[in-house]
Amino acid sequence: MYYFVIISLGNLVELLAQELASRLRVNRDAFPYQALRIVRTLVIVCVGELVFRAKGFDVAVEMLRRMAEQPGVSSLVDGTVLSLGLDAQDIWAVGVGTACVLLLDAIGERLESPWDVMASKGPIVRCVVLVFALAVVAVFGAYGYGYVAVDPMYASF
Amino acid sequence: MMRRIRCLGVVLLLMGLLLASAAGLSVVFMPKDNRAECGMVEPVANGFLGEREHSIDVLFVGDSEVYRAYSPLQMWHEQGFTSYVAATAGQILPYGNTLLSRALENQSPQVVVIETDFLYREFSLGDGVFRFAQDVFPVLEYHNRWKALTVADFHTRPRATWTDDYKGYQPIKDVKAADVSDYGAASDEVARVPRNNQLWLRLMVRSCRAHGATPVLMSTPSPVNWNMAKHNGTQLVADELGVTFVDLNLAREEIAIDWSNETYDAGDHLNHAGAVKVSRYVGQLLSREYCLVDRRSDPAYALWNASYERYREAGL
Repeated sequence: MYYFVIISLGNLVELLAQELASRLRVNRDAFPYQALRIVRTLVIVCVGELVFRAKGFDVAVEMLRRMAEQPGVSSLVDGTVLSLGLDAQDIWAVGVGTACVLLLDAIGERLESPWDVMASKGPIVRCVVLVFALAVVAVFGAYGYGYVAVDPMYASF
Repeated sequence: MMRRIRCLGVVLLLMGLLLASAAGLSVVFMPKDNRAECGMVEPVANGFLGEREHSIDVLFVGDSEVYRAYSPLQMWHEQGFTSYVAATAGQILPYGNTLLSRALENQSPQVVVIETDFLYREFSLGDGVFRFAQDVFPVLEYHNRWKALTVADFHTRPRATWTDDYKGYQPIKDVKAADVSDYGAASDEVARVPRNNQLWLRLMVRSCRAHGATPVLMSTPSPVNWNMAKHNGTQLVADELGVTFVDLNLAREEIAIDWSNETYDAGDHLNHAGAVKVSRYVGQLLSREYCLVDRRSDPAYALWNASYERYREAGL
């Protein structure tokens, strides 16, 4: 419902925005305007995720109010962020994993697809790399004892 | 032809590498002692690993109903047989089977009491398969130990030096009265034990018999979790398996639980006062029916007397 309302409002004001942009001589393809749109979407998505995670509309409003009244990143520096479920080692694992994905993605875009590179190797190399990847997932994956699966973000999706 | 042989070779290579790496990692990731600080999962329920070999006469398996209701040290003091409660909160049958299998590696219990509350706790086929995989490759259970690995983990053999002083019993003395107006209402309905659960129960019963232990199904008094339909369903399964079924919910006069004072969560679980009554009744029943040996004066079991002294000193 949240995104339905946002998207509907966006469609409704689109013509108005186009008209306003042309009158104010704003180039909608220019970087500043695009950056503004990215920030706008980021805020809408973050607020949306907060609303979806709240137990009710009133709780969501209260959370938003507290965010506005007590802004800050103290939990990142006083250590309380580590008491929410991920400890420092988990965060390292997530960071290294994300960096690996970014690196492989960048290599795939600028040089050669890692999949193609693997396909050109012999079966022994492929098997070793596959088993290594599975072992990394088995060891560093979030599953098993003490792990509670996070609720789906968008309703039942 | 050559292509097929080559494919087969690659598949065998892959399988071999997978099995070897899983086995190797399992050796490293296995906790090297059965203490919580060594990474043991559910250390209290696994405390039997630290008991002297072949020293446990009765093993209790099940969920929280079990560790709140059966006190091995009280049964030791009153009847003289040894027992251990291998129970965890919300336990599902595959994990019960795991605990039973672990216990039967080093113990030879005469009786295995399988509490029936978890016969009705549903789980997926995947839960069972994953549990089996964890038993074969412990790295899947203890993988989170990567944060605590030391050099010693690569060359030390696992051992078990710790046991729970209360032998798995976890007493609570709080009181929250239960509404028992519907407790024990007669019914011809039959709540069928789910097929998947029956399969795992069958495995457990077979394991018990293969190791010379007598399996016994037992329902702990609980107005919240028990009803006559479940009794009928459990009786049906017990008859099919040829296993004795003891329903303590029907022994109301003999055990005489006071539901206004002897439960801490309104009839879901017993508190310590209720557990004392149940342990007394069950201790007598097991001792009588299965001719359990009184070991109280056996010097080999002196540690049990010491544990009981600490139990008494704790006001239990």
